[in-house]
Amino acid sequence: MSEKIRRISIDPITRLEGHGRIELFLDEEGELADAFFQIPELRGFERFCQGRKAEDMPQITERICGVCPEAHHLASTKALDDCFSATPPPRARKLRELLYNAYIFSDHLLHFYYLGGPDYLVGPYAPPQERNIIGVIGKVGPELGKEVIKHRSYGQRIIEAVGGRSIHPVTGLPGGQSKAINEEERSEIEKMARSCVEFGRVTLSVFKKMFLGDKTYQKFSQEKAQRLPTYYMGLVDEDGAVNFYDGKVRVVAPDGEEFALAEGKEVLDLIAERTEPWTYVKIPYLKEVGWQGFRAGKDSGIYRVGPLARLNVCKRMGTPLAQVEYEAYLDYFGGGMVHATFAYHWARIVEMLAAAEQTTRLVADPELMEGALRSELSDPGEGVGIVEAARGTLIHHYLLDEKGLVRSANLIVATTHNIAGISLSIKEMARAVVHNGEVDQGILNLIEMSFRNYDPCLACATHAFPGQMPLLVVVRDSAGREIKRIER
Amino acid sequence: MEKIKVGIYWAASCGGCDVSLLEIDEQILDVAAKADFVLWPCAIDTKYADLRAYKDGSIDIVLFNGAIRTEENREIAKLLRDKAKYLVAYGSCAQMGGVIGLANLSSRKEIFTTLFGAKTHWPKEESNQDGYPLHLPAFLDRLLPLGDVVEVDYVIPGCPPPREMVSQFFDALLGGKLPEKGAVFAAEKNLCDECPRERREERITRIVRPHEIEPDPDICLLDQGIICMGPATRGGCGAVCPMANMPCTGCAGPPANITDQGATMLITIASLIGTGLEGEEELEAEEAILAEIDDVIGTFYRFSLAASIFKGAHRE
Repeated sequence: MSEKIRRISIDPITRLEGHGRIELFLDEEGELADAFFQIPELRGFERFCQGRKAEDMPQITERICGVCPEAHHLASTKALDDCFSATPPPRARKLRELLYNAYIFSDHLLHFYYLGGPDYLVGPYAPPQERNIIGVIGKVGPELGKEVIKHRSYGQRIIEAVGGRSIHPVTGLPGGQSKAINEEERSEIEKMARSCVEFGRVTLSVFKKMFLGDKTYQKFSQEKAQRLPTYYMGLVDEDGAVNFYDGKVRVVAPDGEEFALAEGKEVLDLIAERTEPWTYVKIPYLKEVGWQGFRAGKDSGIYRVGPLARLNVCKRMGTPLAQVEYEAYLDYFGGGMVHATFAYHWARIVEMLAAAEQTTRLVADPELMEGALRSELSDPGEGVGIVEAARGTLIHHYLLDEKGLVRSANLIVATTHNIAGISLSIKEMARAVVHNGEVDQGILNLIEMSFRNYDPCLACATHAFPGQMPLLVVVRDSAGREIKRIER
Repeated sequence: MEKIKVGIYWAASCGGCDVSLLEIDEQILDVAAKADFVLWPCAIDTKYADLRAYKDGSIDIVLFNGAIRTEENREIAKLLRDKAKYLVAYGSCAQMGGVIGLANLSSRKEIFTTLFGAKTHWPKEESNQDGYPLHLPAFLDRLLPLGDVVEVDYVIPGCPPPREMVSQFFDALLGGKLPEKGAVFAAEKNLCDECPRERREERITRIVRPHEIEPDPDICLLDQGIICMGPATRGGCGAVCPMANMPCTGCAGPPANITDQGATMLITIASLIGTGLEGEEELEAEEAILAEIDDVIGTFYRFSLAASIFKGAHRE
């Protein structure tokens, strides 16, 4: 490195899940020469999942992330459904969806008020010691502050009632659930869910006042440099509505054209990945489009996931109040595809409202309280489970041996898909705000705000391993009994 | 009165411990009224440079979650030990390695090969990208619990620590009533002591896995042949997993006065197995039952491998 090049490190980056660091290099004029977004952590789940019992996987893999354990728990449980060729009974499915929508609500709330929100609710240039949840409560007042705490808690209590625990739930099993809820719990959930819908609306009004009314937000949500025309990926149901728990993976191009509609193993075929020597994370891209370096556009395989992506791949929201808010969101950005990275915040709380509405629907569904919790399991084999985690598409892919032990586990996690996008956003922001070598905490915080749009989970991100699963062929007789198993 | 200075840090962790601090709901407002959070990467904007600038011993208490997996984790653990009057191992990973301690069954080379493929694709500690030098902290050969690197004053166990324990801890801290060093914020007795399932002391004649049967919700899971870690696990959570029809997996570590959780549970299982036959026949039958246990390490040492007597299979 030339002596005239200056290095600025933001270490650690804060108000996110996991470990990350930003290295900025400035040229002799003090302008940005290059920027690197590094992930200095690694735990190695794909390795130590090998040899574990299949039914332990929902509880082992959720330890990848304690902010979104429900997403790993259910992606894993769904992968096991597939491994054992089992369809959970309607009651079990409804229980899972109930837990899952409560999780999306709670996780999105966490980001809006605790992690990303303080940048606008307190202010991007506020003293760093105030730019946090305590500062938010100071700013919005204790009354709303207590509502924030109460509704995060409601989401967690619903997860606990269905999942046995609020963090790292335990009730997912291949082919079903280990427990149901009783009428008392159900009616309690119904009350909490209704209150969550109301709080979702309150949060949208807070957003409109404090984000849309913030000059920094206005500037960066409209500025061309902070728009990345990339591909987008997300689950949609049969009607094309956003679905967090199940559906088909839809990928659209920057111009909105459908690039792929895939399910199960087909999704893995869409993705390739590359490694870089300077980070512990792998960087995925669309295989067919190819890697063209860190840049956006239709000829670059970079794609994004999460709230912004889901609202770009869907045709509508699945619930009425969220649909109205979705339309207002599209109007603000001029309709069609929304490429503004700062729009993630708005998309997130439209989804938060949708998840609360969906929770009220599920808790009123008679199937939730009647019927079997488990279905018959076949011999263990290979399986894929896909959900939309709060931060984007989450894929678990397992290969089991004949005793139901894990031969190989392949995890493609939400934030991993976004690594290229986050790197680009950081670089664009640093280029826009660092001039003449002058930086202060406010400028450095603007650079951090560019990744906070994505609500990244870097503990999750260091897991990606597509394309290296052993191939398994199981030959069965007409009665479905295993005759031969070929692996390579 | 001057506010108590509290630091919260995560090393190799999932973030669940950080979220568990929010599970005390409105009590967090009482905590914030009496304490200043001086470090908490997931919630506040303190950087390492700010932390290094604190005087030694100037932070009253640090809650440290996560295990020591990289050189950076080790450095920050040492730094925090210097800065803090009291250091707390918060959660299973800091206390005993946690689930991620299962990585100690493999070497660094095996882990990297599984994750990144050929050595040419491995991340490097020092690299140069278009002329810009970049550093990554080394991935240690073996994962370590916090207590293997620095002295620990208190333990709050669990994956993550349950709400009641976290709440009791803050009551003690804010009330100026921290116990003697070395205290563990949980029950002294094992989980069975607080589990509402009926223990019938039946002999185990077969081992079954949770997805293979629908267990009776009122009877001890061990009585039904499902391996439940309750006898070798510290209570304090209210037996939430057995209440959800799933076995305890041992996240709170061993009860007081027991060092090796897995070995204790293996002995318990061995003593419960029996078919009622006599002599050689019984021995053979018991061996056959024990052989039904799949993944012994992942079952008995799910959270405690890195703190066990043998610390994992691998030496490099």
